[in-house]
Amino acid sequence: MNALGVLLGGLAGLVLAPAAGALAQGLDRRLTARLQRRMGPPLLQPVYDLAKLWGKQPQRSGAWIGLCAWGCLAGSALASMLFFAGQDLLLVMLVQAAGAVFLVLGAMSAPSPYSRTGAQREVMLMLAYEPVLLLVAACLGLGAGGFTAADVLAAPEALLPRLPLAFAALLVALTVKLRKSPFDAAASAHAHQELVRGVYTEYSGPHLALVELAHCFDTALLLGLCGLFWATSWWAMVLLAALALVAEIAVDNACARLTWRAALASAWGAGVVLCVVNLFWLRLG
Amino acid sequence: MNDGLILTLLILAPLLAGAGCWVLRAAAARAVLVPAAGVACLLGAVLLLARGDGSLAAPAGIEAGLRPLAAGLDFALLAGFLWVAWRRKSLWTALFVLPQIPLLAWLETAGPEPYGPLFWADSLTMALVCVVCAVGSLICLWALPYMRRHEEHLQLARSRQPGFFLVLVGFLGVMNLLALAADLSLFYLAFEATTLCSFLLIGHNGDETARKNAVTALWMNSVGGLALLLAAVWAARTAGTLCIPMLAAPGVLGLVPLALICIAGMAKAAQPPFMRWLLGAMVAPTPTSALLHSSTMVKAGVFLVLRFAPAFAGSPVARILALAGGLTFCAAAALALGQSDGKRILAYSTISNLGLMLCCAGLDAPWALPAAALLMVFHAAAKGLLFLCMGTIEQRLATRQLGAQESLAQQLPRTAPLMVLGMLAMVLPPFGMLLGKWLTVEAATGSTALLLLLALGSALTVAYWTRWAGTLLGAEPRTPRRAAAAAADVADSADEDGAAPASGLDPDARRTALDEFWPAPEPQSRLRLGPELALAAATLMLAPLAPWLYALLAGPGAPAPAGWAWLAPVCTLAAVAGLWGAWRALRRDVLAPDPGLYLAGLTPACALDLHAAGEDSAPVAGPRAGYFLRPLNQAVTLDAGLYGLQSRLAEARLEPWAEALGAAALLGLLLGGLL
Repeated sequence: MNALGVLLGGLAGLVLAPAAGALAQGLDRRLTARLQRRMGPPLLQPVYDLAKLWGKQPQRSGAWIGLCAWGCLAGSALASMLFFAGQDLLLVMLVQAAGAVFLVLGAMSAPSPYSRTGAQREVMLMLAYEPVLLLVAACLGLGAGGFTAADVLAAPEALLPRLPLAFAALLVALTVKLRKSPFDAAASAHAHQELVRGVYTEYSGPHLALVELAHCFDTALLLGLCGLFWATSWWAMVLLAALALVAEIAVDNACARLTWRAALASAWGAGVVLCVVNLFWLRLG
Repeated sequence: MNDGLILTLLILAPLLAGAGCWVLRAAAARAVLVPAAGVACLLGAVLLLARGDGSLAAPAGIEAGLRPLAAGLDFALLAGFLWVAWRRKSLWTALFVLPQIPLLAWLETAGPEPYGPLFWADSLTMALVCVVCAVGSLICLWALPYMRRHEEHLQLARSRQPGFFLVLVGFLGVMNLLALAADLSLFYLAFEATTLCSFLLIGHNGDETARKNAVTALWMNSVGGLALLLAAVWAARTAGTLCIPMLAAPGVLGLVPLALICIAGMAKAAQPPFMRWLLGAMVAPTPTSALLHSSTMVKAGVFLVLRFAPAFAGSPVARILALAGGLTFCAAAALALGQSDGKRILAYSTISNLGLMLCCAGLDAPWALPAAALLMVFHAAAKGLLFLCMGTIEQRLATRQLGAQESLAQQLPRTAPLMVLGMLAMVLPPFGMLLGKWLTVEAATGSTALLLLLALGSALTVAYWTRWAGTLLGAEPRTPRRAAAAAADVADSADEDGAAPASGLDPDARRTALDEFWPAPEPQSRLRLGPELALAAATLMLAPLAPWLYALLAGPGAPAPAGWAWLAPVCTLAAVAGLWGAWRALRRDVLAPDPGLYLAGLTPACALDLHAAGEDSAPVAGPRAGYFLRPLNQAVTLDAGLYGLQSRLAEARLEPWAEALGAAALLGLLLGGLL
């Protein structure tokens, strides 16, 4: 990719990606509501929520919450920019973990038992999804012959037929990142949580807007990663991302929450093993 | 003449300064000699960097006499080790030291004449020398107030500091000798001398545990010494030379001596099955742990393997080394996650990162070796900082347990944030550890097993650092009683330099967020805070320089993974933006009223906020009080602990597996060399 392409991709990752992520979240909430025989909010509700939160007075119950909220946003935004600029997938995964680290640090800095328990659970869930994401990125790179997103995009044929297990593993990691049942022990996407809001409890006002915006970036990044599995045509990418989202919503409404131990065991058991098997299959075939 | 000056500054000056500390036993002598040694080392390092690559010529007369002198010292060292083995009734030590004597005798009498230069510097050497001189000098400086407080606490009749500083400062010279040696017998002398330094410093405290752990360290390092000597004898017989630059070229040495060299490196770097000596070494005073057992001595093992890595690249030895390194990276990270003792977490983390460096050394990609050197430099700076802060925390709290370190950022508002910075430097971009890890994963994409181990290890690493950093940043609910206690604590404890403490909090003054970070100065000596701040600054400033360091280490025109060129400007921008945002956040006024915690209705409404009530007997309820009232007006404290993973990741369960796998890797290395 030339310099102009990188620049445009980075801008798209900075501006368009969170918009797409917010839209995806709005779709998610609408669809979930319809599944639950409710009306559901407008499609742009996440945007309205962000605007409302941003206008509130900042209140800090922990000294480091503000800084960590900004750090969380910076990590997720940087990861998204690097991804859409076509940079190295492994680096993108390592950078997005940085955003998640800041979320946990901010939550632990508040003397609230809900926040701190949620943060501990979030550390365990990070432990659950990080190796899966790294291995999925490695699978994509090995399948496409190059480890940058640009290389995978330029691959001559679709990767999904050769990497079905890696895609399933990515769906597992997506469930954790989107905070869907059964992996929502740390904070739930919807209003059912025994820890108030878990790791997000003490983030309020503009700081909550920042971490929600970071979540929009993460959503866009991961749905984009889903799309990369059929990178030969644009509508196939969008379809794949949409299918992934619908699958997540279905699983969310069907499953109960797992404890963090069970979540760690199943994420590693399913995600890591599926990726390793797929890697072996790639090498043999 | 210039070369002689560099060698004197780097090797002789610290040795003489250490000897001076021992001969002149006064504290004033130490206060002069230790900074002088540091300055000499730094000056030598700068001159070496300015000089560039190539061999260093010692003055003519000295070079001739150096080899016999080295031989004599070698025999003296081995004799000393045997004496220790006899005194402590240690069979293992005798077992691994005795065979070294006839081998050394053969090498000195029937071995090849020294051919080529005795001292040589390339980019890897310069990296290690810079690490030793910069990080080592700062740690020695920090050790001055630490050891004074340490001995005050122990109330010793006769100070043991002269002996301590003899070894600590002299060790800098020994490490520089190790880095610059181009002759394998000279390298072996420095290798064994570091074993001696480690033995002396671990046993410094003199109690039974310390002595036992010192002997363990001695015999495990002697395994490394024996392996190295066997490799040297083999090289002398087959290749006819002991010159390291020649031996490190591909095709000169066979695979078996290279496997022996890898084993020597692994023993020095405390890889499984040699992990126990490093864990046991944590009983030593903190400067020892910081200098020897995280920043420099254990790097000597990695340095040895990296030096010979071009010779075994692509062979079965390299593949097994990479696998062993990856296994260590993952296993030691899992073990660290299950620990609750701060220094043991740091020790396992060191072992884990050394495993990562050795994994890099065994990989075949062109950027693997510069990546390992980069990891070496960054790890030394960050781990040195972490150990120094851990030492300060341990002296303040008198415990190393993680649970006691909750909300330490309020108690130690200068040390705890520096420690958090060190931890974040180990896992976050744009710091070099993450970039090195990325380069390693890029290089390892050819092997599924390595990818799995590196992915798992990376996630486990992030988990244990995040957990610890979050614990430090936590906050205890503020009550008037706790605030008064904190102010009294500051007023009572005088500064270590003897200066009067700053006044406590003025409740009517405008409090900015900066005050929350820096509420009252810790009673801490500037000599202690200075090195910590310097190391933190080095860690911060090295981060955007990582791509240039990589180019320096790899040489001009070196290949790198795609996107490396973009990394420096993007990360620098991110770092600058982050610092600016942090500064803005710190200057903002902390808003009143106190927002309070969200307790989901546990606390009755603020009507029960009885701050004016008498503090000592009745607990005070309210949103910031840290209590809530149950029926019958019983107070329940709000508390949240850490997930104690000790049962799941029990050291007793995991460690034997790790050691067994390590021993299997060792056997595999030898077999891979033989077959």
